[in-house]
Amino acid sequence: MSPRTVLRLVVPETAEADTRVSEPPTRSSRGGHRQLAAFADDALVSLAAAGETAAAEALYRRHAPYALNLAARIAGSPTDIEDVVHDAFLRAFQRLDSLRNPAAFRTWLGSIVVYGMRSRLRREKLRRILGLSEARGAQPVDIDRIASPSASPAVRAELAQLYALVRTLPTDDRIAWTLRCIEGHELEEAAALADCSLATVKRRIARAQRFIDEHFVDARSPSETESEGHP
Amino acid sequence: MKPSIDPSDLGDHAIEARVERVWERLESNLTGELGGPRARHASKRTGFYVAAALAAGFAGGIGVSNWPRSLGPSTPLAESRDAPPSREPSTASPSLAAGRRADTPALPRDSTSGPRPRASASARPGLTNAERGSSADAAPAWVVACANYDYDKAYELLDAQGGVGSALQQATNDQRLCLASGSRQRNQPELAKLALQGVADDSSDPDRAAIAAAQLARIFEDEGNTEEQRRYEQLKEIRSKGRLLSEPALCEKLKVQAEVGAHRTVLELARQYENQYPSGTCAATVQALEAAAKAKLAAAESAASSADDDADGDSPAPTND
Repeated sequence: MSPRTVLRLVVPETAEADTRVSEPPTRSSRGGHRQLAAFADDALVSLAAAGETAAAEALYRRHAPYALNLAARIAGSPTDIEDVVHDAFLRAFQRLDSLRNPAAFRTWLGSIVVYGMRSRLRREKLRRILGLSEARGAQPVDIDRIASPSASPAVRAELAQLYALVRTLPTDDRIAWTLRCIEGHELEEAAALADCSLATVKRRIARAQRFIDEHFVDARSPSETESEGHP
Repeated sequence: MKPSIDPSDLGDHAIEARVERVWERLESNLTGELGGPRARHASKRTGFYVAAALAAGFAGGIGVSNWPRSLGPSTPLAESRDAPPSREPSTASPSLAAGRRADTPALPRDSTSGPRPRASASARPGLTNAERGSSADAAPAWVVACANYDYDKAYELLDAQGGVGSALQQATNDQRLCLASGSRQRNQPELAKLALQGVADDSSDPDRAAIAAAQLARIFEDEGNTEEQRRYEQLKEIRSKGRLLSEPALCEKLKVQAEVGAHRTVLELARQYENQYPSGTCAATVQALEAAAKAKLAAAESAASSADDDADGDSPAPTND
């Protein structure tokens, strides 16, 4: 069974679904963004580009869950994802006029989040090389923050192992594989999000998948030995 | 061997508190950043800033704020000279040094949109405090704490230095706005009002005064004090005087008001549009919306007068105005 199929996440397809996920707290109850909640993305983008803060907030409320989860799943942890998501939205709002297809706001935002995460991961790698942070693999995977509270112990063990493997991959391979196999994006969309060609994203995913295939150990099979990490 | 994990086994990281926390930060950055050339069209000097302030009124109280530009001593630009491609965000995420919100990245601006924000390596995401260097050393400790969202520490330091009141007397408008944010987060509206009123009254700094007035209006709205709310909404308008919504922004705003049935607002905006942009691209739409609003208001008034006849003075038919 391929992780491509088994790890696909349920990403809300409609704005309504997203809005439900991100039901805003009390302060927003009087906000104009509620009045705009029924508007499609392209209309909200037009309004926000024209200066309506309420439209920007409506866009934010609709897509923040997607952005936060995308960042967290690439990082393998929700730690510090707020900075990346904040940065991404701010940049998106600043450049709404450059968005050629306003209906594609979500994908465009996703590409900004991915870019931010890639920069962050590369910076972390540089810090490790410079000895400014712990060596790769020194920190255990924080499974409590990755897995759902309802996940079984066996599943939690698998997830921990999977993320431990994934984070040893080169950044671009890690991102491509996560977009495809965890976030469940089609190849074309994964390529767009990763800002690379279709061929490149395929190559990165294949490389990552090969490594995972070789090193993943079924936690439910006690006879198998543990992986040693990236060769 | 490949993993077999159900999607529902992965956690949902979009918890409400996190979504709201990011929005709190984002909202304070939006002023002056939202939109692009089109939104900046009306006022080259302040760009979208005013549009956002006016939009706040339209949005029924969504406040606008602009992160302090100089909470503390200025620091020369240390990075962010290399703007990334248009669809890609900066890796540097520069933010302000001494005194400015250190963990709020101020993104690089277009070269045409005005001066770049001061930035330093002190607040790059991912760097620890120890790595952030000493650029913030010159700022008062409470300012640094405030700029880092550590409001409890900021207030603790202020208390040790003689209290918030004395600090406010010497604080810059940006520092007062920072304190106001902290006070609101700490559920101390009286302190927030104290900090904001000084800024709102400062006619020499209309940008920040408008922000403070908008925030005060929201605080008073929360308290149900409609008189003060209106007063500060008016003050916000006064501070924003002379700055106009761009033609497309006004047109879109008008459409939204028509959509939600705010007919009187539609008529006001239509008059505003016709005065400002008599040959605007949206003129025909505006006229149509204005006519429709007039018709609906007339119908509502007619229904109200009928109801008056029947019930001898009941309230008129409601609109969203």
